[in-house]
Amino acid sequence: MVRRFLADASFEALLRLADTYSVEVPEDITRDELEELVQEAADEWREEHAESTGATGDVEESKYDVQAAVSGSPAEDEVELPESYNETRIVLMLRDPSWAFAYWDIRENDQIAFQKSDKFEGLTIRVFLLPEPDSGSEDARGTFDIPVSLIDNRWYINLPEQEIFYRLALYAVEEGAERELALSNVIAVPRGALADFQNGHSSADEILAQSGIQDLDVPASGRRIPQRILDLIDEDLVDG
Amino acid sequence: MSHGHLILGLHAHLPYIRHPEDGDFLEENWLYEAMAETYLPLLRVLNRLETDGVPFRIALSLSPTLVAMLQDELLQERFVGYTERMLELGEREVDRTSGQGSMQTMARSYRDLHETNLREFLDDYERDITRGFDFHYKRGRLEIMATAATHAYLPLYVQHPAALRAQIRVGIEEHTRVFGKAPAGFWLPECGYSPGMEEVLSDHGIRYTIVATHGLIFADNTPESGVYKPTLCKNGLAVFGRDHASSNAVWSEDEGYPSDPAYRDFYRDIGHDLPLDYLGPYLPSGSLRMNTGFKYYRVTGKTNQKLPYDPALAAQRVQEHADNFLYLLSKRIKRLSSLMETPPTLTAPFDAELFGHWWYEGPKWLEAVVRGIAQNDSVSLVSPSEYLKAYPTHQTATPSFSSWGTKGYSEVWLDGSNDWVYRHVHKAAERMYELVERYPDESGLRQRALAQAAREALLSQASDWPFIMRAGTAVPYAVRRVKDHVANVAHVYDALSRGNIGTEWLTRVERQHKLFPNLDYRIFGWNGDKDPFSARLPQVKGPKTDS
Repeated sequence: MVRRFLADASFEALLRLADTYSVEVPEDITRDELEELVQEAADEWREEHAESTGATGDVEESKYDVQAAVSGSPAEDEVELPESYNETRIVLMLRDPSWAFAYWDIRENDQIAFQKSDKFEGLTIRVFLLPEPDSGSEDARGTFDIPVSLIDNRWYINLPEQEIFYRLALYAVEEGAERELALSNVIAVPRGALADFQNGHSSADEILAQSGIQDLDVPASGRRIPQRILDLIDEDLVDG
Repeated sequence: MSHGHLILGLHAHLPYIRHPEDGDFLEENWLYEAMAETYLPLLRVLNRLETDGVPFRIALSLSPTLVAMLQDELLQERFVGYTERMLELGEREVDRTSGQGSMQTMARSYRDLHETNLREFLDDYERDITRGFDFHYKRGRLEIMATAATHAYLPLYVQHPAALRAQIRVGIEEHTRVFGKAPAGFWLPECGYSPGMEEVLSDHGIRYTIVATHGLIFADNTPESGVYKPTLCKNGLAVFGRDHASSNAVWSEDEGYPSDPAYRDFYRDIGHDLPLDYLGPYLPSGSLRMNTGFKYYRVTGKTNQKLPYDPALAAQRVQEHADNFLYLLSKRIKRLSSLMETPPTLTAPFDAELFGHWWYEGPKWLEAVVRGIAQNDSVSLVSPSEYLKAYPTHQTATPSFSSWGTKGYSEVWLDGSNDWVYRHVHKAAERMYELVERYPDESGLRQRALAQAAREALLSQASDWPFIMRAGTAVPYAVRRVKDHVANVAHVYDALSRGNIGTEWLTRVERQHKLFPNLDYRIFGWNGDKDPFSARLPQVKGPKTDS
């Protein structure tokens, strides 16, 4: 997560983020200490995501059970796809409630011009946190920047908040001034957790407790399971 | 007496792999192995249940790419050749293992498997085993669901509603063409759901689908019956939620039934153990070691010192595990019945290839479960359509974005190993939109080229390619397939711009990727007046029953 976003975040927003990352927060923590704590947790989570290439399931893999060494090295006639489609665009894709993926492209002439220009300082992706899908940039609830280089063309973005919308803008920075190159599509980022509710139906709570909600292996899903449901989870029944 | 229902779901899928240019193509074996070890044995289970008058209901999805391969004459002929080779190897194995007790028993069972497969394939199904599934579909025992055309993981195409719509529509049209009736249900590949898909599914007459557990319980309107009753989207599409516990009893890598030490070990195979001069005639190119399906050891434990397989012990364990599954099922139904006004329904979908190919004893376990349920007063098998007919009113809720992949969302199909794919497959889809706009009503050679481009665009979107790249099993092949399909779309795009379509090139590609015979390239057209995937968030509400 980029520090600029954390630096602008309120103490309450940092507390929510700490909750997201399951960070234990001491009662007497200062704002700066909390910011540091959240930054470390976010970095760790990011590394964990990046390294997580574990198999989805042996069953599905076993369908494609060919030894990598014998499955045919790239043939001489293998086609090569273009690195760029000579257009300027940025596309945003939701991976999970905490991470999005962006890929972008810049027209070849512009790339060359940036490379030759003394004024060109770099590229920036600005992440807009929007209250509505059609909100303008000026209405963003927050923004943070990700500096990228001309050789980058994709990036994973840690999403600090859920239940809002995100849009990206790709900027060229020239002599300190920003020039917008492309705007992305908008994505809706879901809660990724049980909806908040209080209905007083103990049977509904107990049924949810039986749904295996605590064993789903879904990141951060447990952070918002109401305690009253956790109390009802019957290990004997769920696990048999 | 408390009572509940079980919806057993099987999803059969393989990517489209057909290489007429190569008589000994390694990856085509994925189909032959699945036919030999899963699809034909599963049909035998269904046939035995039918013959014995055991009532059963199973929801099955057969992907359009799998169906296309099962009905392809070239691949059917090659399956005969594969089976004859395996049969010959089986005979040699029976001789080689002479005097080795359970080893020879296993060798005989493999030989018998291939012998039975060959006879049934040629005589009973006349080379087309979809007839076997269709028989039970028409009898009402199987409910065959449609699924996406090439098994695209759909949440990664919400930015491309026309492409996503094409995947769903072609999948439904292929189902209707092959089985002669429109499907009631649609299997979302990898249980991948994003809000908005319900509108596309309903637009095409689909009445229900299945999502991952958290897809339902994280819905906008928390379902007060959890995953034990379907919910209805606002447009009326019913959504069943996968039951975590019953799925996990089988799926769990460490605790699931297939990991029992008595069961046959998948990895230890004579293809890696015996000398090449013996195995040569049965291996690709005579020297490439790979699995043959002849396996003689049991799981034993987390050790390389595997014990010989004991068929009697495994058979005993199959019955114990079926009994255990039913015991747990009945226990949970009893508990849930006390909390619900209508009988609880547990939905347990599995990859079909789990049964037989991966879990050798799986078909027998499935048969034992079905027979056990037939004798059980507290639970009955039901198809989703039957259930919805009996219980038409349900809570309204829109499920949450979700999948059954690792960590519950899209990470399996979108990570550092495979994310490069989307730039190109999205571009291929965009080129199709443009082509449809430029050539809205073509015939002759142009129509052929456009239809092939549409096939190639759909094939590029298969979830299998990014999955394989992440799993690391046959990465060069998956990479090549993505590149080939995207390049073929580009070839048509450029050729039409130049006004110069090469008949020879087109004929070659048509012969290679020969599926979806009635495909209309305008499937990629979209008038833009209704985008169900425009970014939106649900309004969160507390549980509330509409009915």
